[in-house]
Amino acid sequence: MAELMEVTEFDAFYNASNRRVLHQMYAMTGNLADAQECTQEAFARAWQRWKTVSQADNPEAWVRTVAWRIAASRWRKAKNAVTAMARHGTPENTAPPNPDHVALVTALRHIPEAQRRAIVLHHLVGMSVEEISTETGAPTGTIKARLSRGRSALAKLLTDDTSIATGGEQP
Amino acid sequence: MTNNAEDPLHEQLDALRTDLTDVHMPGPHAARRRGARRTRNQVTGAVLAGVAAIAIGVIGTTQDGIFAAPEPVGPTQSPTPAPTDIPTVVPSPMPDEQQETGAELSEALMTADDISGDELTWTVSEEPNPAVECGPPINEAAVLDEAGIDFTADDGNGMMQHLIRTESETVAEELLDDIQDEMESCLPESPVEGEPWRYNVGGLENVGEEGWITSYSTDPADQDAPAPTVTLVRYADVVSVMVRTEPTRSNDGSLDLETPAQATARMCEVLFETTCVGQPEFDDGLGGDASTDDGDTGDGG
Repeated sequence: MAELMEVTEFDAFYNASNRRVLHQMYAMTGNLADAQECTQEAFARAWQRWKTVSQADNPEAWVRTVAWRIAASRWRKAKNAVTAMARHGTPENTAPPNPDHVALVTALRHIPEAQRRAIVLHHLVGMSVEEISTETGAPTGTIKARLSRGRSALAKLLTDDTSIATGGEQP
Repeated sequence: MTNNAEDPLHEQLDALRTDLTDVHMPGPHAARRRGARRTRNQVTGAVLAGVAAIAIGVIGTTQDGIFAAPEPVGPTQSPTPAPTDIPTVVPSPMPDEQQETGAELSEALMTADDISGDELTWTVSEEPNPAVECGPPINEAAVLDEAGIDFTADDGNGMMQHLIRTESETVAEELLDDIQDEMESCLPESPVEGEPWRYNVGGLENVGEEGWITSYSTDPADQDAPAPTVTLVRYADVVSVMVRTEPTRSNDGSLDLETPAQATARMCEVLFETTCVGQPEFDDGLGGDASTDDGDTGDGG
């Protein structure tokens, strides 16, 4: 009976939040396949620890944080592949159809991970600097700096398509 | 939450939603199944290890003489590369050049001389150091061979290294990933109340073929709570797991990279007769702006 309740509760949570997390992870990773995989894996881990996660103030923040960690871990492992990617071009499945979106996700991928995360949490999720500080464990001053630098870098990249097209700093 | 109504960047980011229209998510049952499979795999690994340990114990007891208990590994059993032996450039041997020497893993374990950075006196401990909260979990199903050593120093300082040989380089990569993932899941950045809190996490560069390091407090509210630093390094099919435990969170954000570098240099020299360590560097994923980030020590993301 208790297990059935847990299943019902988890399923409701999943159905209510999975598209939001997917959207946020897409903005953070710039890759639909990665976003799907990290989101699904994070929900799987949430189910493993559902008793704890369900009691958290914000289970969605837990899933988002874990999904981000999984993505960040993959980037670090894939670091060596980045050079090859720059040489051979981005794989087909990473290119979203809308050209404006291509420019935006490509620009996001060119700014440092921490800045990108802060940008998405603030400008997409709508979290305050204090809330981001709590979720990421970084001081508020650091979050402000990341937001400021991230916005400047994005603005520059979005008005300078050449630098994006020719590659540069990657996650 | 802030009001994003007139934020152009919000509008741009929100518009990415249209790219997801045709993206299918498998549903909650798939997430539950995947979670259950993860749990099953972890339990199976632990049970297999337990069964193997019991079997070895039984055979060892009934056929005395076939299985001799290994001698405790001391700090002087293997050569000690001097710090100056570490070159500044990491040679990158191709996979087919990774010739194993046939040495036992126990011969490649770190020694007390490899532990750097303080004036503590380290001695080999016959007893394993106490496990730390959210410490590295080992999926025993991936283990082909293993060896470990524990050191203690005054005032509750502890150091442990575990060397694990797997069936292949791929399995070693997966093992390192699994340990890292499990630890990262165990240590979220505090959206869950009461969870431990980390203050360093990132890549360990120029040490082995891949490396990862994290420091955390087992109780952020208590400065006297033990503060472990966990380092994972892989070279070829061998994974090295190192855990250094300090009795309090005295760590000021600086990281001891020399100890894992020394230990890894020894491992590669003994097991592969190669040099696999350059100038160790910590990569917190922040690029060049970490030092100017208002004292941020890096959270890896």
